[in-house]
Amino acid sequence: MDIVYVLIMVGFLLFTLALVAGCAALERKK
Amino acid sequence: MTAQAGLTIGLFVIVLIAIAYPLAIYIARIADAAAIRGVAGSVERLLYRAAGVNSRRDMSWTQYAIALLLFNALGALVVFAIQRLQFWLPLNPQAFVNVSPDSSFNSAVSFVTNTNWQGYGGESTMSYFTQMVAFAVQNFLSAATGISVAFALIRGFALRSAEGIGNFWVDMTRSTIYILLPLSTILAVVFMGQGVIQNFDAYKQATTLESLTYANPKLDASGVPLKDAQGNPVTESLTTQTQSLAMGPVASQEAIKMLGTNGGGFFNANSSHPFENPTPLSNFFQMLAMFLIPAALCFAFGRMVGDSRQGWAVLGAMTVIFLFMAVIATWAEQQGNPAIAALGVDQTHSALQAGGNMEGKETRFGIVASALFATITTAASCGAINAVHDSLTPLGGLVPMWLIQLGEVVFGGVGSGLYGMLIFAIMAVFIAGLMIGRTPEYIGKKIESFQMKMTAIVILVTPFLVLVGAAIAVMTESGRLGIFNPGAHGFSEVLYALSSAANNNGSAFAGLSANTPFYNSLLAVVMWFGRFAFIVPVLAIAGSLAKKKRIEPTAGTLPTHGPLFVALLVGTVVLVGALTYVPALALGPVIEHLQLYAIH
Repeated sequence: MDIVYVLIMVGFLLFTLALVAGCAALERKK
Repeated sequence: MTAQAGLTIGLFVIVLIAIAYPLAIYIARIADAAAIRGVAGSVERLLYRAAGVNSRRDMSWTQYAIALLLFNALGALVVFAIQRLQFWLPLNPQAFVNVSPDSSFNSAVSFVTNTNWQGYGGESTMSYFTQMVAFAVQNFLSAATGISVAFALIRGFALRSAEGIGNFWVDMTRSTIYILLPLSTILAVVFMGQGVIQNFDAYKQATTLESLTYANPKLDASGVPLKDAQGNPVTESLTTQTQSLAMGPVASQEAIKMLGTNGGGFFNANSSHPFENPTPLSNFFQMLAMFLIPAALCFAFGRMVGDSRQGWAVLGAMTVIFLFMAVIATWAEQQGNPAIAALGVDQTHSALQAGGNMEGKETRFGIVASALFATITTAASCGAINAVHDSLTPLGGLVPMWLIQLGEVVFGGVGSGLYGMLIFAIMAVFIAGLMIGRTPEYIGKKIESFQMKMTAIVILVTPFLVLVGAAIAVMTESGRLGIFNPGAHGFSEVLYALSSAANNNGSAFAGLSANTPFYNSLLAVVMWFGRFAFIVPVLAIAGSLAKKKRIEPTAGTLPTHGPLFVALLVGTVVLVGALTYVPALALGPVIEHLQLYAIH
């Protein structure tokens, strides 16, 4: 069970990093 | 409202500003890139060398955001691991077993995000090691994260044509060792002087004068309360004549819990526990501590952008909303409960009793200090409690819930309150710009399409998490199983929990059985994205503003330091909060208030 929660937390990080990438792309596009 | 209430609130605001102003001068120096001399500076440089950090490197907003996210994700993993291993780790005199995976997950995310939502009871679940090394450390680091983001956004306004917004590692280190550690040390000693305990003893067993028989709720294997066919909780009768007195290093944790607007209590009863908040004076210091850094950061903002009036304007808007809400909460609690009045019970304020609605409140604090504490803790994104919010009157309970839902910008969390309010300020100048057909400006920076897109994300992310989360909770069997109270009050408990998690407050209405895999997981998702999906666009705004030139104000520039702008800012915050949440609030505290007065 522990590994599931660890993977979820890693998933949180990846989703938020994707948000950084998305915002940066939007900034370049303006 | 009584004269004592007015005096308490007035004294609180005066003392707060008197302490926050000099602290702001110090904070503004810490935020400056110039090296700090002396022993403290040597310690700082030693830390950078040990960690391999180039402290002179200026980071772009994306580099800053990535460093922040990696650091906090690593923190969550460490806190999770410590809870899962605590039985084998030191400082565990009660031999507490390892925390369950779902509760560890929830608490890890909770403390890293500065929420400090607690689905567990601290004194019955967590070892001293877990409390200190996992939770207290995150109390410092999550608060320092908030201050760092605030520094980055202020630099966005202050810098001209710059590529970077500072160095995340420097901001984190300086916020921790120069601001949070010294203030916490002083406050911990003050708390110990008031009687807050600080030890590593095993719990003490006391024999009570009388035996006590009580109804204990029965739980199933997964910790969910059992209910009978009518939906009432199933209980068993238990008798005891001993009481276990929990011990621990409380004062040291209490100081940063309040200063860092974390709010996670060492004990389950939080600041209503006599070992955590023993006297009216310790209560006053706790309230001051919650607002101290958020208020000082407003002044520091003014100094850093070179116009102190800007800081006063932001602080003024926060204070107007806070005072209004504090008066409503205090008044509502002093009115008492009409259902109890109908039984002939005297609820009037007198020399012999606090009067009003004393259910769930400590007699050593009374109505005013409890209602004021509830207002401050929810305005400040702290989440500590000295009274049970579930027992507040419907209107008294609406105040903390709505303050949370405004986005924790009324003083708000350490750092997060200021950067949240500055986002509302950008929104306010945008609205004003639309009215007069000019490109909006704030602190000499033009607000353009990219900044408004990021502002839209910031404004929408938390309401989305709150409302969708609450809808999932009341639409699913797992969500409804945790609701103890039927009807409007039960819905209020769910709405409050989601609002608290998404806005990183951490207080609870209680009454909701939230230490279940469903709520632990749902609230963890909401806490993480409520914190970091908010921070990322704020940093993007900071980075994009730093690149802009600073323009001088002209006759057509909206002044952002006067009463007109304060009124515009207050209106923007209140309207956005009202329009987003009023339909949901109507189903909870509003209908409960109408039902209470319709019946009695």
